[in-house]
Amino acid sequence: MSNWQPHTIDRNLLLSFLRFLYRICDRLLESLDLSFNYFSEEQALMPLLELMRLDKLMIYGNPLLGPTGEDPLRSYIDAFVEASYEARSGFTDRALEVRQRVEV
Amino acid sequence: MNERSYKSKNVPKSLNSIQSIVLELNPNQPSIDELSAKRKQKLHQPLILRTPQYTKGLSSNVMSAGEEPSENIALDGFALLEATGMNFPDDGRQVKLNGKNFNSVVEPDLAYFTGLLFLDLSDNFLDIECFATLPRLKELRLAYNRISNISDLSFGFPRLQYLDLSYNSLTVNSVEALAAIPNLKELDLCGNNLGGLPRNMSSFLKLEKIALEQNKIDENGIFITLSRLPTIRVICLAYNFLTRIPAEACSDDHCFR
Repeated sequence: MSNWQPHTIDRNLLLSFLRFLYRICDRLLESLDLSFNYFSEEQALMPLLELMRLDKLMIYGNPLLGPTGEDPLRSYIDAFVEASYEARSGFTDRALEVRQRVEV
Repeated sequence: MNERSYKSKNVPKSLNSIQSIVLELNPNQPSIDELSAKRKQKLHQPLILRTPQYTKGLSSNVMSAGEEPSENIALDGFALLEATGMNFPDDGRQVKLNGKNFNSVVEPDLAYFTGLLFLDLSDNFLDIECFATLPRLKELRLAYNRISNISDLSFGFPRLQYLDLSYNSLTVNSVEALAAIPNLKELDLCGNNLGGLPRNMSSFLKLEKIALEQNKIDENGIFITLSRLPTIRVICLAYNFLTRIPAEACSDDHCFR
């Protein structure tokens, strides 16, 4: 006799689905302005990649963007930007807008 | 090289006789980027130059910076009524009385302003507590009022959604007292010399936006504190002394939920 039961769902599948919902729905932060602080390395920002609803991140004026505090070519934060694309792929279409240049 | 001609009736005759003006690009002139950086630098000049008091100090009929008037200048019902532009106090919806040096409030008069929605009393010497009884107030601006301590606000501000307390001298305990405002959605605490925030921010049940620009926050643990705000959407922490985001702030236990 088969052990198959109609209401049994693979536990791992359920957990990953709940985790997916959790990541999409439960984190509300949309905008974070960290401009003109003292962030000096990309690693210091990496935890933010967990925040799937985060749309705007202002980081200009920080030492990690080089001596001018602006990095229009994203040469200083390319690893962070790339990691943000990777972290979001499969979860959301919304890209993280990183503002690394002072807007007049 | 650009060449343009200018002629106008409003300029002196000697200038009208000029046929053309040649504008040459000076190689030593700063680039657009440099100019914008300089302009931005100007915008971000020290706090004292950007506060309303500085602007106030430019006019001739006011006192020197930060000086409280020696006599009692009370905000009463007549001043409020005049500012609303209405005939009856309960018709008044908004009041803007900036820089009038008010240092006290005739509280019984406020009871007549039952329809007041917007109140801007920035750049005075007033406390927040006396406005707690305004039943329909949605937006209160008390920037630069030299407020340092806030006592119990329980049962006050039933409909307040936006509160501007920027450029005061609030303490951490005072910030904690603001959690008693039941419907607060936006809170502006810029320029308060705050070194941190109360440990328990979860009491701000409906807060969606918090501005903490130009404080003296140097504890990276602030992100963990802020992550406990249950409905926060927008955080401004510009011009502080932060160096990193703690992983715990974005982990499953906190995670800005």
